[in-house]
Amino acid sequence: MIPRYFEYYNSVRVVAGKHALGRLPEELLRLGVSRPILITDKGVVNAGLIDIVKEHIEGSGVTIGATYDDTPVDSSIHAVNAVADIYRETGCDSIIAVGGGSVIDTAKGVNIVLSENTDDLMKFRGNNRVRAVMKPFAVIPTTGGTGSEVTTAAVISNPDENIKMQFTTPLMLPDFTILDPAMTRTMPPGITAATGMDALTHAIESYMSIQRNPVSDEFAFTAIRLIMENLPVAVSDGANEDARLAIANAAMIAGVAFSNAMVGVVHAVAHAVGGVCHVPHGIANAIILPHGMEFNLPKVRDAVAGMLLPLAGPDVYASTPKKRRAEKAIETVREFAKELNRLSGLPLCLEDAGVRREQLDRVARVAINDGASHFNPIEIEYKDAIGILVRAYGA
Amino acid sequence: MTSRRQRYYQIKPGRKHVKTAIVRLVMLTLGHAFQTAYRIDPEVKKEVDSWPPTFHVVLEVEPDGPRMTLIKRNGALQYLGEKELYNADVVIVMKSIEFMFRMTMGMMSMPRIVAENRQYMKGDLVLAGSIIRCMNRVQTMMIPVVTGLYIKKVPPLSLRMIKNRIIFWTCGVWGLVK
Ligand SMILES: NC(=O)c1ccc[n+]([C@@H]2O[C@H](COP(=O)([O-])OP(=O)(O)OC[C@H]3O[C@@H](n4cnc5c(N)ncnc54)[C@H](O)[C@@H]3O)[C@@H](O)[C@H]2O)c1
Ligand SMILES: [Fe+2]
Repeated sequence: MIPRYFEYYNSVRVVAGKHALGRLPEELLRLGVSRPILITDKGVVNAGLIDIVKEHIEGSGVTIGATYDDTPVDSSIHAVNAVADIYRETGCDSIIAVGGGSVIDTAKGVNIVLSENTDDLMKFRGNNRVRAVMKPFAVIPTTGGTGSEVTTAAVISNPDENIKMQFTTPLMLPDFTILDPAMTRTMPPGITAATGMDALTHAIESYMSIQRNPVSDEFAFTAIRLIMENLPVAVSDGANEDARLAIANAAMIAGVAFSNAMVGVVHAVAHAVGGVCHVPHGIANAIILPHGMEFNLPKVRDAVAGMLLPLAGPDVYASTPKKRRAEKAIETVREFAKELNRLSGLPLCLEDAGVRREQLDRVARVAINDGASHFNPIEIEYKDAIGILVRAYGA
Repeated sequence: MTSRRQRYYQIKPGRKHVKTAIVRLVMLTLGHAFQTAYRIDPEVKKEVDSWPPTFHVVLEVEPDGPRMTLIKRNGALQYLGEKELYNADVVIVMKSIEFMFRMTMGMMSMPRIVAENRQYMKGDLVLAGSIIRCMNRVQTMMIPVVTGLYIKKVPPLSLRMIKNRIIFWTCGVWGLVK
């Protein structure tokens, strides 16, 4: 299907593979910089990943000008301002993010604050508010999920006003990203499963979006196939470098897809579940995903049916009657989540994720105002959101 | 011999006067419709009441208008014409007059406009959803037939909606309902 009109953009140089990190100094020097600030969090430091980065800059002309490892989960405006101050004080000339979505989004915020030379990130909320030329920016993801290394978006919370602020601009895209399985092999099974389901959700939602296009569709298909084939292995055998590399690539590819096609109802509801009940982003997505696909079915039955091919493989696709493919696709997603549950304890319903029933009303109210809903094929009203939440509540 | 200026002629942007005038008129009507809907449509009232007590919303066309400015203050939603604001909380920006024109003429739906990236938003995106839901109600109040073209889900037609439409086209459209 060719839409009447579409746009596609991605400018990030991707360096992916075993020992890809060895390319870090060269890529930085190519950008004309040699004193980056390194942004990360405690979990990543404790996993020994910063030592790996250190090893790879040894003997090169690159000095890490400062290391910030206090990034909180889901990022925060305070962390952004703190890092920007350290950057200025220590005379850094570029930014490296080493971590999951929380770290990467913090780094994106830091880049806005520094490049716009402001102390008020709030002014840049929304789409395309940033105009300044950005600082050189590199991302080394350590989770296999958000795809934030190739997306034009960042979500940063403002704890003072208890809101999550969204920023989108193509200027925020990193100059390059390095995907190295050594950086994700320390990820515990639970986080591997949850962030992998976030990536799967990106691919599936971009394929149902009103902004989908032929380019994003191809990326989505490849990402779905890679995740279905490799995520269970990466969860159960974390040291398997091939599976780790496949998931890192899949998350990036899904990121390219949804950065261009956007996401929909699943993310709208999952963002709200995360915001109100502090359920990790990947877990919320994993729980809501099959319900969101069911909700969208009346409008995008063909698209959901088409996804059965990468979800279940050619044999299942061919042996399933055309009329049943959409339902079978959803069933496959459910079974996949159950398999991850057996392997890693991934919660399958909101109750198991620690959500209280009396919170659902508030979650639904937040969900219908989420930006992701604009790109969903079906309008999401309060009764729809609460319906999805109730169905997702108990096993 | 022709001068170099004539040979290598420049192309100026020009203006789409007719389309701009039509859009201006539609935006004026829409502004009054918002003001009216807040008073007579409980759904719109509920949405607007959920916004902060003082709140500015602007719908504008780049590069220089037309513009529709709404302000919520002292428990009322007021249409301020084309007033320019530097501190608007949410600004919905249409990137060109052409696509604003197509939307106002029902040639393109709001979801299509969003999907094709013909608009963007500045400010607090959390309330953008609420604003768009209001816009859907307001448009249904204004226009009887074409709304299915504009929005994903047309609010059900009710007696109250018909009554509201009459109130709008007799009083509201003149800015009499505040
Ligand atoms: N910008 C985007 O496009 C985008 C897309 C999706 C999600 N997000 C955001 O990303 C955030 C979630 O990111 P996430 O899911 O990557 O999780 P995360 O960054 O919050 O990390 C989760 C935990 O895993 C630990 N960890 C990360 N890598 C590890 C490793 N290799 N070994 C051991 N521990 C490791 C971290 O220390 C942290 O405690 C959310 O705030 C979400 O809103 C952004
Ligand atoms: Fe996500």
